[in-house]
Amino acid sequence: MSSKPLPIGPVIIEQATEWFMTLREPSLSSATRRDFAEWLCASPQHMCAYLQVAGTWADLAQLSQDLHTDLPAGELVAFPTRVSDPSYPGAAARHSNLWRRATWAAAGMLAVAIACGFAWRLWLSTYSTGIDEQRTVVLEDGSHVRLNSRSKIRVRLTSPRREIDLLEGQAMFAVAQDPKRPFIVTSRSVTVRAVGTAFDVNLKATGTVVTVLEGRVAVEMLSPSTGTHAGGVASPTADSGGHVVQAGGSSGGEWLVPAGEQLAVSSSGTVEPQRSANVAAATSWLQGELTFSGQPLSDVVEEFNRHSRRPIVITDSTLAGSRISAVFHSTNVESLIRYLRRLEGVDVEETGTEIRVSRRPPP
Amino acid sequence: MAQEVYLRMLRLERPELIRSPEAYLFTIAANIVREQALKNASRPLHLALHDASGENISNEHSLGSILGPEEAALQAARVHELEQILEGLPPKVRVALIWHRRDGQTYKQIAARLGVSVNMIKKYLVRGVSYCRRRLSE
Repeated sequence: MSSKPLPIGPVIIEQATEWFMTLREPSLSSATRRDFAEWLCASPQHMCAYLQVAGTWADLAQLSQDLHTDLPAGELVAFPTRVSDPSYPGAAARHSNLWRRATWAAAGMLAVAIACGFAWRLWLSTYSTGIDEQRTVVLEDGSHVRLNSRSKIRVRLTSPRREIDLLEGQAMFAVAQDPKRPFIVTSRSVTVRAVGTAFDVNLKATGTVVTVLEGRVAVEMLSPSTGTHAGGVASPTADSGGHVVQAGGSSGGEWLVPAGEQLAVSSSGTVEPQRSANVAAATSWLQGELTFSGQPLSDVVEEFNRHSRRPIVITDSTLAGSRISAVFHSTNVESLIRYLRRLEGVDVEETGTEIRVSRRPPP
Repeated sequence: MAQEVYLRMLRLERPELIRSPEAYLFTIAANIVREQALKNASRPLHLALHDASGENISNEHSLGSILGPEEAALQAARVHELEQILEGLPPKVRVALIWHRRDGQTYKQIAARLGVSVNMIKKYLVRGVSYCRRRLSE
């Protein structure tokens, strides 16, 4: 019982205890309550410390009756007789409160457990989803992030900027307005900068696709060798006339993407504004659907593999490049398999660990 | 789930109205557990919880079993540790804490017994509890 996941400094513990005792006082001014709420919400460490104190407070009520309470000679000034009186309110209250105290002790411990687990997670600030799991994360600034399955982000909120790394998969961002703190999403070597808008970033094996739903974002390429910004920084408020435009002019610079448009950046750094962006299709995963219109089979399979425990493997490169147009249920891999089986010259072989899609050798 | 508790707390419009924050946070946690249980009615409920010392206190806890014998034994161990830690406190701080928490005596009663002011009792208790908490975190 000695290793601690999250060390909390003595100053925070002291503050937490002060607040804990203050809140036990019968009459509190609303100003004091406000100050406390501000302190509590300021940091998960504060919440964690506060709940730890609450847990210890509950445990202290269970101290053994055998504990000595002798004071060194001369320290005890008065010893009122009523303490030994059975009608002394403390004694009666103690018995009837036993159950309630036990409950609160457990409640306290659970809350501590939750808070500490959380504080630890916040310290790492990584959110991820498993296969066939989607979740919404509400960031401290009020922005919402919807994570598609098998996706992972790391969040760093500081006072000058809000930084999110898309480490894996796909996420939709609804950014809370805060002109002073740009919201920056990094997907491998691409950064997407927004102030208050909604957009989707999809990190694929072949590159990153940015789809803008509302407002406008600035997409910037990082130089792959140095990891630093390659182009000049332009203001995302420059008028783009409703189309994707390149700002600054230098290659590898900044692109402004307005609502309803899409930009694909390949792993090698090639930028392709998508001529016929389909915002509904790009974000249909939010409704548990996967929509494809003329995408290569490899893309379709990659999207499906986010939702499937058994990966689909395409063994043939020409097959991987063949174009698919369809709407699937993201949870229903069977529907894709049935679709593939119907295709001419395609063989689908299911094993315990994977689904192999290959070209049927000509007879 | 843990982050949900903090986030739901942050989303409160007027957190200063909460009377008992620890009870409130516990209620949030209980609600989340219930919501998840409803959502995954077919699946067993899994919660991996860690207590303040990093020990796994529950692997497969339904909310109802939190007060089980396992938890009681853990609490007994923590209380025992606290009793040892109390020995490191100045005598007056130590007895003030015991009299108040174990015996339910008021600040006023303890102040009279120790011959100090009521305000001093609050200082004693803050000092005593934060000392215990600090030692438990070491």
